[in-house]
Formats: sequence, structure tokens, C-alpha cells
Amino acid sequence: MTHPRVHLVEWLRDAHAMEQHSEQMLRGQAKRLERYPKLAQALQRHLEQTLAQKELLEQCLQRMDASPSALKDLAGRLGAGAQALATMAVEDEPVKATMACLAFEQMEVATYTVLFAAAHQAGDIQCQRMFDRLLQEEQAMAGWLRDSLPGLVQAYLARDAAADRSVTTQSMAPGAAQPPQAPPGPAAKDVPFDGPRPR
Amino acid sequence: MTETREHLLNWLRDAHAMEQQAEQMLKSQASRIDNYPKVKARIEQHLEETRGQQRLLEGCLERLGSSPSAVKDTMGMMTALGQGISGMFASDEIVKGSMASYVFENMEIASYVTLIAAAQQAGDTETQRVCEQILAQEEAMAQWVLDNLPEVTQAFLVRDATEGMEAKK
Repeated sequence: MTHPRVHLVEWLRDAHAMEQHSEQMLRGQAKRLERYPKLAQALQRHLEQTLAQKELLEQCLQRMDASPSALKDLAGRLGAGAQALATMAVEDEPVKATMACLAFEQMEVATYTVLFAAAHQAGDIQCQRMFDRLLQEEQAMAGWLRDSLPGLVQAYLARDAAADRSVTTQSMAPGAAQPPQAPPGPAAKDVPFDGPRPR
Repeated sequence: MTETREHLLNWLRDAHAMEQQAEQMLKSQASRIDNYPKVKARIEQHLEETRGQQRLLEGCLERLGSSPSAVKDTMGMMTALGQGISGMFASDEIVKGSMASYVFENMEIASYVTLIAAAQQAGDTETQRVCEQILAQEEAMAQWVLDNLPEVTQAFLVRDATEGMEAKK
């Protein structure tokens, strides 16, 4: 038998650990993806959002007389799945890295969905409002990554094919989101690499 | 175009390995759940879909002159990831298990979005069509898990706050 509030605090700590992980992941990725500047910029912007989220979660924990978990039990709190995702997210290969970022964002979406329901159950309106905001920020980022993925994949494939044909580096200029020979179609639509709209 | 085709094949094999992991995870999760019959039923439905998806991917690989088993050992990262997430699944706690399902479904969604874009680039309309069909199933499952998550969370909290009730599974 456990009081809902105990779970709320425990899940809040998980969320805080997750955002710390997210911070490291976004920092690494934003640096690595310099050949895809719009994606890197979006990740950079989300990094700033993540820092603010971490602070909100800390305030929430303080209000509940709890503290965030120490950095060293990150692995324990998040489990191997999140660890593997974060490792994959800092891979050099941009497609896999973006897929992992997307899955990580969706893990955050799931976390805040759970926390929102738990805060509702515990009758904590202040927390509920905060989780609603965080949920919307994560959904916006996940949605943007998802919409950008086809353009990124095709840019990556075009770059790879061009590199193999020893084409001049000019055609591989950063920001060339669309390959020259991409056939038109829904998945090849021109994806604006400008990041999720701020709320 | 050879490189594009090579990537397409690799990603198809990754997807096939991922669906095999999905099958294992869904099977073990369905067998563990006792008190959340709606969740169990949806997982069992998706287990059937997952087996169908494996056959569809095998069809694509054969058509492209390859097979699922061809490059078993090059999948390092995806395999590690799948195992990591299935570790989350193995938790006998329904809330964490549902979150893990959602993350895994989204990993699958990302894979099929990637495959569709690659198939389109390679001009392989049949692979594109198959992946679009699978993507729709994965999206439906992910949405269902997310929509059901508040209810699962609250049911878990109520059960866990009640004397003599099993909440975790």
C-alpha cells in the first residue's frame, strides 16, 4: 500500500533525472550535427527549454520537501532503455541520432502524461499546470523532429551518394536539406528546418 | 543509387530485427498482466500485427534479393537499444511497462518514417507502400498507449493505495 503522493515524488525525481540526461544528450547532438544547421539550431533551442524545465521540476520537488536524485543514480532511475537511447542519440550517424532523439522526446511525453495524471489524482493543481506546460513543449519538439525526419533522411542519402561519386563539396553544402534528384511526394515535402514554434 | 539501396536494405534488416524484439516484449508483457484486461487485449492484438509486419518485411527483403538473417551482427546499436527498452518492459510495474511500450512504438515509428523516405529516394514504391501500411499500425498502437496512459496511471495509484490489492501488474 502506497500513498499516491509517494509515487508522485518518485516520478518527479525520474523526470528530473531524465531532463538531466536530455540536457547532456542535446548538448552533444547540437555540436555533432553541424552539417545540418537547422536541426542543430532546433536542438540548441530545445536545450534552453530543457534547462528551464529542470528548474521547474526542482522547484516542484522543493515545494514537496523532496530533493532531486543525485546524478550518480541516473542510470538506476532511468534504466537501460533510456541509457541506450541517450547513447544512440550522440552517435555520429545523423539519421540514427535523430531517431533516438525523437524516441527520447516521446519518453518525456509519456513521463509528463503520467505525472499529469498523478498530480490530478493527488489534487495538486500547481503541479498539474506545470506538467501540462512541459508536456506541450515536449510534444512540440517530438512533432518537429518527426516532421523533419524524412527531409533529413533524404539529405543524408543524397550527401552519402554524392560523396561516393566524388562530387565537389559545393553540392554538399550545409543546409542542403533536399537532394537534387528527390522525387516529389508527401515524404519529400520541403521541411522547414526552423524548429518547433514557440508557444 | 547503390548507396541509397544499401542503406535501404540495412534499415529494412534493422526493422525486421526490431519487430522480432517487439514480438518477444509484447509476448512477455501480455503474459504478465493480470489486472488490466484492456491493456492486455490491445497488446495481444498488436502482437498479431507484429507477426504480420515481420512477414511483410521479409517479403521486401526477398524482393530486393536479401534476407533477414543476412547481416545479423551489424545491428549493434538497434539491438542494444531494443534490449535496453525491453529491460524496461520486463519491469512488472504497469505504468513503467506502458511507458516503455510507448517509447518502443515510437522507435518503430521513427524507423518506418526513415524507411519510407529512403524507399522513396530509391524509387522503390512497393517497399514504400509496405512501410506506410506498417507505420499506420504502429501509430495506432502508440496513440492507444498514450491515450490510455492517464487511466492506467490512475488505476495503478488507486489500486496501490488500497489495502490487499495487487497494483503492479
